[in-house]
Amino acid sequence: MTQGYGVTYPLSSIVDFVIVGSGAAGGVLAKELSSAGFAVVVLERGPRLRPEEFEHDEYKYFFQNHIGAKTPVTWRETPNQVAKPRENAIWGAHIVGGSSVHFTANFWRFRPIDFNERSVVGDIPGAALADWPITYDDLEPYYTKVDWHVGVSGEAGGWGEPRRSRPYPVPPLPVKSSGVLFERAARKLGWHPFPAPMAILSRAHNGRTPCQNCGFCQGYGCEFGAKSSTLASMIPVAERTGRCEIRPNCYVRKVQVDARGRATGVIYFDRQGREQLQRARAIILSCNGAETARLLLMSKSNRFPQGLANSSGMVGQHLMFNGGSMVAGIYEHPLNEYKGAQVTRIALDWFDSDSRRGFYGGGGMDARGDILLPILWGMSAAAPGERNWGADYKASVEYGFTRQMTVMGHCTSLPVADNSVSLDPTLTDARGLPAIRITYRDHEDDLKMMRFLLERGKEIHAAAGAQKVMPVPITVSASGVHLLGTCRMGNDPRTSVVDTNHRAHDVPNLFICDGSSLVTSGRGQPTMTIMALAFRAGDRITDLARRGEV
Amino acid sequence: MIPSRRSFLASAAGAAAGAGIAWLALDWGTVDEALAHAASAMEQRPLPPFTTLTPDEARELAAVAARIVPTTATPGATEAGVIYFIDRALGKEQGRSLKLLRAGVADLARRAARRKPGATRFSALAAAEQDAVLGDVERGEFFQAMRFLTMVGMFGDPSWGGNREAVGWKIIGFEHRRSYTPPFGWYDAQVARER
Ligand SMILES: Cc1cc2nc3c(=O)[nH]c(=O)nc-3n(C[C@H](O)[C@H](O)[C@H](O)COP(=O)(O)OP(=O)(O)OC[C@H]3O[C@@H](n4cnc5c(N)ncnc54)[C@H](O)[C@@H]3O)c2cc1C
Ligand code: SF4
Repeated sequence: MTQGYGVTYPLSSIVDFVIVGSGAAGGVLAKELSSAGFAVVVLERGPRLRPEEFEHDEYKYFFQNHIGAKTPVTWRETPNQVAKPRENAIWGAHIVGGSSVHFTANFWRFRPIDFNERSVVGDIPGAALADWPITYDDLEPYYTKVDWHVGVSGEAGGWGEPRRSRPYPVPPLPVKSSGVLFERAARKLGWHPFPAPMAILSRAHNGRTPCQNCGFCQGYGCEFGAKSSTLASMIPVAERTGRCEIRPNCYVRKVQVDARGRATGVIYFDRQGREQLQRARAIILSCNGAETARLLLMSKSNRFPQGLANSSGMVGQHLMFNGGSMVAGIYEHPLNEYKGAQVTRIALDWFDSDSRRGFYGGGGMDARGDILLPILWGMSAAAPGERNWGADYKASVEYGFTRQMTVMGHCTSLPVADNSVSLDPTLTDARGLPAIRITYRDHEDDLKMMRFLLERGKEIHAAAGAQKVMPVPITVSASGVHLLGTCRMGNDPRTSVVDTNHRAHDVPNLFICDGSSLVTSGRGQPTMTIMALAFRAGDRITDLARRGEV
Repeated sequence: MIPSRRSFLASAAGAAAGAGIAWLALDWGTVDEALAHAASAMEQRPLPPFTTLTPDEARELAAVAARIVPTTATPGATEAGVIYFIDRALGKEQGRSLKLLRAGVADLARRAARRKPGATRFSALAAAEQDAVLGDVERGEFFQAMRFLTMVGMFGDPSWGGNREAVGWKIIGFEHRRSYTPPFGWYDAQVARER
């Protein structure tokens, strides 16, 4: 079912805003702009699923990419290499609600340092670290909007927490065994664990059902609407305004501009594969940090030969993923991590970069099931180097399934100019459009930070009394889940793509708001910030439109 | 980077044969019953014909699956009907692996003959010999594909044709419900008790 939710605009109409992408950012903007009285069409590449259509089927969702991103990807580490096709290289969902539908829902706010770290730590050789043109205080009211409108569970007063203007709307989720073990061990080690803020409802809120602890969460859609995706939280509100049409199965291939350099509409393939043009007074791109850059680069014209909004050459550059570390451990008693949401306790003791560590970087840690469903565990129960089939292996699969948890580290990725999204010169998708070419090699300091957190993960397991500890060796990143920084925000049109209103420096009625807007990566869990930016962008764009400045 | 690390664990080919882990013995009592039940279900139900594989190919691949997840005190790939999952999947979503698996069957037959003069197929070897042959190919594409398909047929949703009677889920302790109430595990229950 894809019809019958909101208004349907005739194809010939010129609407106020076309939003491309209905994910974390696009869903929030759809709600904000339609609530402000504008006529909005959201073009979404993926299908629309009703909550009851989400299934508990690991093979389908995890191994057949049922709702996953479909654009082919090629990969190389440095610009002088030829990129080779790589499966599952970047993760995301093509579906109404975008990657907020299947994400894990860890929801950390950025902290003041994330916005002005360049000024604090200075230049980092080999990186293009920059301050944001806005501060934590500018964004705080919007973080609070995310808490209350989108729905975040948590407990105020976590270690080092920055100012917050309101408490969380609902309390933390019930602690899991992973949380108990993590909290105990972290305390023993002198750290400061606290309940994880999660974009999952622990109590009914805004007319939505709380979490039923089904466990098919990371990589799946929530059939109860308890996970605070934009599909569950924002899009229904947008549609109830009667001014917002969500048009699924529409794949945008180009932003069209006129002779004056203003955007006039977008060209897309509809469900039947026919080309359509949707015209609008202004256009907003929210396709995520990989697809937004790709769409701009595909929108070349005589006037914009380097790609749209790319006079700076910055479109696609400074791609950041967030570094990470994983240590799995096996315990004496069952944890049953396959039940419930993923994460219930975190520690952010390493948030600030500390020069005594000898390198730049900050991060945090959590404990979770992670490898928590039967097929994945069936494939993963051996430590690197151990035989992973046969009778002994089977015994460890049987023993470990209910007894395992993973301690994860999450950390900064430095913005590096060469780390980028570009158009692959040869590989194309089924419609003949260029594949995404990723060029990525972690900065040395990022790798050092990951190794640092890997050691902390081992310490946690040791202090928690694990029977067996299986660290995953740190290597350069071979795939990305958080897709950040490729259209960075800034005041200077020569070094950034959008201004503080998310307006493209080069095109007055083109706005870009999603993971690509981020100037720095944070310490992991960027989506809270992506949604806060979208709420703020909604305000800024509404102001500009009302003043006739769009 | 997270999925790559996860799949690293998932695909790291075991190098050192015999470096098995001596886990504490499970409480097999509960699973014995599942094993008996699965075995009798297999006997009673007429097996569906194969749709993609020839009976010979199916027998050989079933033998490989049975070494990857052997029948021990608990059910393995045979009882879970993994080969029926594989046969169906090769005709559909895993079609691109069919050529690879066919070549693998032929390769295993050659290796079997080399190991035991007169042997014409892998499935005719004794279990220990089968393991030795598989040990030689465990890093190759064929074995990796078979390992993946075996795990899906063992632990995937039964609607895909494997994991009969949910034996795969029973042996690891996965009860499949739509919702759960806390406490979920031993450690959070302990905290709840102390409160
Ligand atoms: C498995 C997984 C777990 C994650 N866990 C976490 C977590 O715990 N915490 C956290 O903070 N983040 C997490 N993330 C990341 C998070 O999902 C993203 O950061 C966030 O969703 C990005 O928001 P966005 O608005 O930039 O893009 P998205 O949410 O990806 O939305 C982009 C939308 O645009 C659509 N689109 C793209 N191109 C086109 C086109 N050409 N035409 C039409 N539509 C198009 C896409 O289909 C998609 O719906 C996770 C991601 C994954 C994959
Ligand atoms: S664990 Fe909770 S939030 Fe996650 S999918 Fe299940 S019910 Fe929804």
